[in-house]
Amino acid sequence: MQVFGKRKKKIETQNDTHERHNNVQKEKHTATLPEFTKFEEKKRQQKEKTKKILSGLIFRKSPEAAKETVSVKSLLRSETREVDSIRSDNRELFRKNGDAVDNDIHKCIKIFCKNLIKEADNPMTSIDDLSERTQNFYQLLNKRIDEEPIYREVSPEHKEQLLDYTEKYAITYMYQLLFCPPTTTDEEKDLNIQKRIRQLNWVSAKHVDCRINETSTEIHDLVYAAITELLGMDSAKAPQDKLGCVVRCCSKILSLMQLCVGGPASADDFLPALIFVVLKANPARLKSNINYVTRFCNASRLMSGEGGYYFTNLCCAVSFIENLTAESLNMPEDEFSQYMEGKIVPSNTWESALIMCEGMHLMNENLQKFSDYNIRSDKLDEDAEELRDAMIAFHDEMLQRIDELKQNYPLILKPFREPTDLDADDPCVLDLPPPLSPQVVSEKPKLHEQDSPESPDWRLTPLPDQTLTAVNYDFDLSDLSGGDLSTCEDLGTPGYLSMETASVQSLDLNAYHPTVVMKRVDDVGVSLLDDQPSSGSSLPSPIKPEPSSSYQGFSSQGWQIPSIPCETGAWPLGSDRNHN
Amino acid sequence: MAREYDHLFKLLIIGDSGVGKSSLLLRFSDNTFTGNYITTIGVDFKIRTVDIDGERVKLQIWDTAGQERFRTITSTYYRGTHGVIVVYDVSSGDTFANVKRWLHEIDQNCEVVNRILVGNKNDSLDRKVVLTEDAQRFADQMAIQLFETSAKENINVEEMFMAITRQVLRTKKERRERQAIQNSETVNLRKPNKSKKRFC
Repeated sequence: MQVFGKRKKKIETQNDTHERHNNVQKEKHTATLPEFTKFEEKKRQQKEKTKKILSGLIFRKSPEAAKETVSVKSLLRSETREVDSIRSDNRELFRKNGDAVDNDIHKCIKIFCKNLIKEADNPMTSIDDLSERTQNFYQLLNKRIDEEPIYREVSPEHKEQLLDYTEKYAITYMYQLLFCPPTTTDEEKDLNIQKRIRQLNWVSAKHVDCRINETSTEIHDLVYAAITELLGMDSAKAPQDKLGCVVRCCSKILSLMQLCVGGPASADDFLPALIFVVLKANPARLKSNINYVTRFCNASRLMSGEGGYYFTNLCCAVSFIENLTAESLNMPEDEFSQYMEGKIVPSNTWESALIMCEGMHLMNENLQKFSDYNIRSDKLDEDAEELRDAMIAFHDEMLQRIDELKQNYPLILKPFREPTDLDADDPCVLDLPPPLSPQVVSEKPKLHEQDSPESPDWRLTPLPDQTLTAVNYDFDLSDLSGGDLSTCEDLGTPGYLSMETASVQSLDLNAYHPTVVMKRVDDVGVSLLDDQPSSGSSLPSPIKPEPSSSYQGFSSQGWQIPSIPCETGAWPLGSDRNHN
Repeated sequence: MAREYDHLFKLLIIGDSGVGKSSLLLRFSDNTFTGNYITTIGVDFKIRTVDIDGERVKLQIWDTAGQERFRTITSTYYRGTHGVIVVYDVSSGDTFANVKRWLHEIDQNCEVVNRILVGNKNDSLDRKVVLTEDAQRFADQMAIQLFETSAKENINVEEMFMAITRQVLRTKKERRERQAIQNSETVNLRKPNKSKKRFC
């Protein structure tokens, strides 16, 4: 049967190419006419490709026809992976309804596909026959699911899903066979509408009575979203998936129309917008897609429901575009034809609006940034103000607290008690030093000076002596001198010197100084050391002539301090003391 | 089979642009009026299930574009339609004059379909130009039921939709009875007529 059909097809086509102009073959004329044009098209393409000339016409035809049947199988094979994925997507559905349902559904699908492929192989069957068989199959399956006992347990919802699955599975499986089949003029129509839409690229929203705001960026985004959905229709394979694309596209259009109209969009607003979107999208293989869905989508779905409604609108939009005239755009005939021939270009096209929009977009963006900055700077000002207030408040509170504290704990200036204490102490101190130490100190330095001037023994020795204590603050005797400090000042006695004065004095080369003492010990001899503890006033005279200022070896700190004030500030003090 | 409805009907609303087709639909489906409610995205396709004599009827109502220029292409809308609501504006004589064209349109696209004539915007006597008597005379002449409604004031909207639904339901039952009689009279053909329901 198949072979026969092929042969017959071959003969027919040959006949028709020869006798096309004579309009013979009346009986099969309507059925086969699309086929011829298709062949014409194929031939033309082939010719262009190979650049061969007419002589090989018959030769070319036969391999082509053979190729066609061979390719049917390979085409179907290419869909198997997709079909498998559909099956795995619905595994859950079959798991719930048991193996019997699974087997029965797939048996039905298999039989249907087998029959349809066989039918499709027969060149005598038109695409409309295939479509009718498909629709019949849907109806029969629906009936079967409603009546057969094995489906009795299946819930109505699952029945719907089973029908859906069957449609998806079977049609996707035969997609290459059913979509834009070579027996139809679908492809030609696709090219025509594509060309027409291209010619109509000057049509603006205003022309089709569409209230789209072409300059708003938000609207633009939505229009693009709608266009993207519509373009996606070509890549979907199952009819209901294609329908899904249309539905999504239309719901985008509805939401954008809502923005433009400022309320629920009615069909009066929607259809023009859809036409506009189709014109701007120029979807690939538009006619093929529409025909495919019309033929192989379950008719009950197309005649009702959301998908049906939007698909109907899409058909209307396409038909409007196909039959578009000057009248339907409300413009004079000559103007329309000039636009169509590209002689004049209207200023208010979508494209120019796009360019404008780009600037608007940027401006809006910048405006937004500015307002953002404004808000932020305002916020900053506010915060600064707040901070200032907080600071003032803090200050006030602080003052208040201090006042409170002052009130609660008044400052009572008590008379000095220390002087009396110190007075009490002083005698002891005075009592303590004189007895023993001077002798010991004078002895020890003599012994140790050569070995190491910093030895602990050496440091300790001068302790009892007043003058030495004062001088030795470098060696961490502050604990001891602390008590003496005030005592000395209060007493004002020449013999007792504060740390500072002592140090200053020590810088003074005339003043008594351990270093000096050491030197003197070296230079002058032991006799001087004996005098040392007795009184400060007696000492200066021997020291004066000394060049000991250049001495550096003993203590770096002790050396560094003297160099600054001694020459000026120390003299009077020293001399005062000397006088005293 | 347990379904949430017993019947599913597709209704179509046609009429000139601006007569309030969408408002009628919106009033019936959501009980709102466009003027004061903006949550609905679109109104061109609405579903509502109503109860008629204990039977649940699911209505799918399709709004259509009324502009003159789209008139020729709306034929696709009629596929599978059970009832058509033809709307005019009582405050506009032109829209009433066009009713005849709309009815003609229906006749061209559908052989047998239930129709109903609706004069909308019947809420202000001052602006009313299409008199009820004239409309009624015309309706009688065309053998079509007339309703005067106001979507804005919610007058008669529910009644009108219920009327067309009843009409459609009655037609369906009559047809079924007729078929039953036919079936009993004639020899049952194994293969049902395929192209019977392709259009309308």
